[in-house]
Amino acid sequence: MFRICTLLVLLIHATFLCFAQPDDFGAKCKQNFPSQYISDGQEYCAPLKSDQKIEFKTTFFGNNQYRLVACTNITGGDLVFSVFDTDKNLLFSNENYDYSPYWNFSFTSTVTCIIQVDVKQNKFKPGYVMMLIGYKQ
Amino acid sequence: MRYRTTLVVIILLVIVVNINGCKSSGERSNNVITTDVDTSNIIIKYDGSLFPIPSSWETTRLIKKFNLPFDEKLIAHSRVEKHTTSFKQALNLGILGTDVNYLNMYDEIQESVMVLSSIKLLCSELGLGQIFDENVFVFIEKNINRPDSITNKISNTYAQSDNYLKSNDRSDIGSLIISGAWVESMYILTQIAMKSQNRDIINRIGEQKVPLHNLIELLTPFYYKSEEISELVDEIIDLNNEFEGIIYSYTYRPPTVIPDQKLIIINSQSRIVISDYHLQTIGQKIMSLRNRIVN
Repeated sequence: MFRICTLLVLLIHATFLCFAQPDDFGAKCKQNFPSQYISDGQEYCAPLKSDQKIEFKTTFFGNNQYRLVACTNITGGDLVFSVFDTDKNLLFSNENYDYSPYWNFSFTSTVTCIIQVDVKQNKFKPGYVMMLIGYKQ
Repeated sequence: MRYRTTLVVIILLVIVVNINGCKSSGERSNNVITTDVDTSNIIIKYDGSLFPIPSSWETTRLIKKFNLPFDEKLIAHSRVEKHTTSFKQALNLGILGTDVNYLNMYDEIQESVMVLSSIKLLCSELGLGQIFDENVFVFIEKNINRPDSITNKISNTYAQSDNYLKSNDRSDIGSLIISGAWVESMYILTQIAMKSQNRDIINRIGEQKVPLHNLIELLTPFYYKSEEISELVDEIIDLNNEFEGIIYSYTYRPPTVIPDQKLIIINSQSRIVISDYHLQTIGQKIMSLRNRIVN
């Protein structure tokens, strides 16, 4: 009986988590864009799964300065965002800079990058991660 | 009996905690100061991947750098009332969004306001009237001499529409709006490139290979939703084949990090070789696709 009870409780909790919207931490994410940066119009938001990193490929145009901002609603973990080139050379990881929630990127030439986002946590907890990219005017 | 009571109490407790948690997070979000962020594009998650498309503003702003003259013929002067399907309406909404950006780039405010009225009509037809409401027009009126502010406002409004569509299970419409915007930005770029032969603009066209691939990924989930979408995807895939003929080279160079500015300078270099044949072919295919959407 206790097992059924626990299961039901977890089910209800999970249902609420699924319906939760990432709006509140999205707003926090946007706070890291000072006025000189304009978002490229993209909100990289996705639920994090236990066996997956969020990954996407995007092209940064040359002679532009961009800002990458990352955030999550998962508590008790460190959000890691890493940027690779298409040859899988690691260009940047915020892991090396105290898990900074944002970093500025200056591109001297157009480069296509693979961005990976993950949350380092001891025990997997579900939640959302969000990434925004802005360019300097 | 004891277990049953315990069960009910725990379930009620969890519901109360969760509802309260949701409410408080909403209240918190109201207190957060948000910056005016251009969020005109859509990101779709699919098997752990996301597919970004650069905003039309980001793609076309290069034109301004070279002081190329404004070309009114590039604007889609079509009567939007004739578009009766949500497929056509969504694509044209994207097209007109790009046109407004192009017009604002050249301070063509009067023309921009006219296009905006068409945008308003399409939004209304697509059930997005509450997003593109009077407040948007009041803002534009107040900032009529600040094209950058207008561009930001419009981009934000497109983003709101996109979020609204996504949360209402209408991602197909959102993806079509993005597709229309990309097609129009490519139309403007290719037309200008073919005329001016400006190497930077030609290269910017070649740099669209990854965004184009992402666009295909974005639309593919809706391939079987309608014949119109299938045809559009097929046409974009055909366009993608032309991009295979563009030569890309990339050289990795170690980046330079300036930690106190939270800045990294990416020193890697890329090079694009795009033949006149490919430029012309891509230009023709884009024009054909765009004209079919507009007419």
